[in-house]
Amino acid sequence: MKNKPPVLPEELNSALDSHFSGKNPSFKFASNLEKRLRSKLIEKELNNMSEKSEPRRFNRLAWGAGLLLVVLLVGFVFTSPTIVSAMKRLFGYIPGIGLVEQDSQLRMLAKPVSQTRDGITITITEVVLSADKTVVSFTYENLSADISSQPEDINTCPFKSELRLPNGETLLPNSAFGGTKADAKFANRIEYEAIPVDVNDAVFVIPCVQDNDQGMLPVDWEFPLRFVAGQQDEKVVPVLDVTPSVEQKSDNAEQNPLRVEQIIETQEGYILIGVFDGQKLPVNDTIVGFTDWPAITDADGKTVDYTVAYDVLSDFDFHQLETGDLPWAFEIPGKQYAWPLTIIFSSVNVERTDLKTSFEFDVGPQPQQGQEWVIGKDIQLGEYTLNLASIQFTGEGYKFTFKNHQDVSRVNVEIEGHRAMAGGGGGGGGGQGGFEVVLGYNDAFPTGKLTVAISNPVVHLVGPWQLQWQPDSP
Amino acid sequence: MTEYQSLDDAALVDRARNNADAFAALYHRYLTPLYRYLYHRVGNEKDAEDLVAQVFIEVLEGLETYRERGRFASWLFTIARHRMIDLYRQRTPEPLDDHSNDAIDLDDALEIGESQEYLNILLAKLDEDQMELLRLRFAAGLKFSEIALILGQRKGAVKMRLYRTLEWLRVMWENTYEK
Repeated sequence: MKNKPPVLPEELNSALDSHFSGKNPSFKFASNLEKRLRSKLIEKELNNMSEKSEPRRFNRLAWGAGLLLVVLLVGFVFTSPTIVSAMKRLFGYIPGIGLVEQDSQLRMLAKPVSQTRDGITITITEVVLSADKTVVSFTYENLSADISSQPEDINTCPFKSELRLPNGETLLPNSAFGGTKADAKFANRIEYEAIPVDVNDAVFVIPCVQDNDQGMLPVDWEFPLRFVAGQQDEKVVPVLDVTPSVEQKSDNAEQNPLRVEQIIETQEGYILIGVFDGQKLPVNDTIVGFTDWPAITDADGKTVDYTVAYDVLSDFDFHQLETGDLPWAFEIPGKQYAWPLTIIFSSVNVERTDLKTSFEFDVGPQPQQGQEWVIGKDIQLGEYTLNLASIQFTGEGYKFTFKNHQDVSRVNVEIEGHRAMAGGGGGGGGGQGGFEVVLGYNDAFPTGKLTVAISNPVVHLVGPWQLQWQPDSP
Repeated sequence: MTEYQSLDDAALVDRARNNADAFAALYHRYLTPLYRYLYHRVGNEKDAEDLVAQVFIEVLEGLETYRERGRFASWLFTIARHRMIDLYRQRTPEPLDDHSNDAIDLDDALEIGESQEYLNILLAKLDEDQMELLRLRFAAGLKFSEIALILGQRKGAVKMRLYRTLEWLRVMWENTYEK
C-alpha cells in the first residue's frame, strides 16, 4: 500500500469526517474577530504612515552594506580558493541565534538584565551583535494562563519591542519568534539591524507585554543594555565551507544546480546548507521555488529523517534575492549513517521569462460591475496552451479566469498602458480548478478596446537533481 | 470581497498586507480549518477561539516581513502549533474526548454500537504524532506538502505515515466494529 490511500469503509469515512469537521466557529465569534482584525490593520497602516515620515539613514546604509557583502562573497566563493579558505572562518552558528560572523567583532550583552513588576519577570538573557544583525533574546516568567488568554474586547498589546540607541535612533524588529521553553518561561528571539561598532549601550524597550491586555499588566519596561566584546566564543560552532572536489559528487557536477556550500557540525548532528543554483537551469527559466523538500537517503537507500533548519535558512534569503540561488538548510540528526547521503530534489517551479503573447478585447465604454464575458479561447504561450475561460469586470478592474493547465500554476497578466496596483501576477494551484488573475486599479480603470498581455508563466520543471555528501571523517 | 476569494494564497497574501478586504478574505479562507484544528487540540470552544484570535493577530503583525513562497498555510499552522503548545504548557488541557477510555475494552464500544464512539476509542489508541497528522489532514484540510513543511518532514514520509494510520484504523474497524 506504499503511498496509496487505503480504501476506508463508508461508515468509517463518515465517522472520521464527522469527528474532524463537525465543529465550526460561531458566527458571533467570527464576526467579532473580523472587526477586531480590521481595526488592527487600520491602526497598523496609520503607524506605518507615521514611521515613514521619519528617515532612518543609518539603517538603510547598514542594510545596503550587508547586502553588498553578501553579493561579493557569493560572487567569489567558488572562483577563488583563497576566498574559500577565508570563508571557513567567516561564519559561525549559535544555536537559537543563527548564523553570525564568527571572526568579526562579535559583541555580547555584558550580563543578563532582569526586572520584576507585579509578579512578572522579564529577563534579557542574551544579546549578540554582529556586523549584520543584532539578536535579542529575552524571557517572560509568571505570565499566567488566565492573563495570556484574552477575551475579545481587550486592548491587546501589539508586538512592538524596540532598541533605542544613545543618539535617539530606534530600531524596530526585522523578525521575531517566540515560544515556551521546557522551564515554562516564554522565550522570545528578536532580530534587529546591526548596531554600529562604536555604540556599546542601548535601551531595550517593551511598551507592554505582548498580546496581553494593556490595561492589566505593567507597561513601559525599559532595560539598559551594555555590550562588551564577545566572551562566549565557545558557543559559536564553526560553519565550514565544503570543497566540492571532495564532498560533492554528482554525475555531471558542472551542470548540477545543487551544491552543498556549508556544513555545521553540532553536538547532535550536522546542518547542511546549500543552494539550488537557478543559473544552471535553461537561460529563460527563473527559479521561483521548490515544489517539495527533497528526499535524503543513506548509502543503503534508507530514508534519513531530517528537519528544515529555519534559523539558518532565514539568513540565506539575501542570497536568493540577489543571485537567483534558492537556499536550503537541513538538520540531520545523529552522525551514524551509511555514508554518503544522497539528497534528491524532484522538481522546482520556474518562471518562463521568454514567453509572452497578447490579444485585444473590447469591454465597451462603461462595463458594469459583475459583467462577465465568456471567452473560451486557447492562448499559446510557447509550448503551453492556456484556455482563457472568461473575463469579468469587478468594479475596480478585471478578473481573468483560466482553465486548468496542469503544468502552469500562474501567469502575469497586464492590460497594456495601464498599471495595475497589485502588479498583475496571480493565480495559482494549476490543479483541477485552473486559476484566476485579478487586476485592480487605484484610479481610472481601463475601458474600451484593451490589449491584454499574458506572459511569464510559472511552470513545473521536473528533475530530479541530486548530489551526495559525507563528512570529512565519517 | 468576492474578487479576492478567487485568488490563490500568494496573490491574496500580497494584497492582504495593506488591504483590509483582502486580509478579511484570507481570514475567512482559513478561519474554519484553523478553528477546527485548534478545537481538536485544546478540546473546548473558549481556548480554541482565544488561540484563533492570537494566531490571526500574529499573522497580521507578521505579514509585512513574511515572504510568500506558496507556504502561507504552513506558516499559519506553525504559528498555531506554537501558540497551542504554549497553552498546553501553561495548563493541563481538557481532552476533547474522554481519552481515559484507554481502559475501555473495544467490546464495550461495540455494545454502545455507535460508530462515532468506536472511532473515538480507536483514535485514543493512536500516538500523538499520528493524531496530529489526522488533525492537520482532516480538521485543517491541509495538503501533504503543507503538512510536511509544518512538521519539517518529507512529503512522502508524511503521506506514508498517514496512510499507515488510516490503514490501521481500517483494519481495526473491519475486524471488530463491522463484525
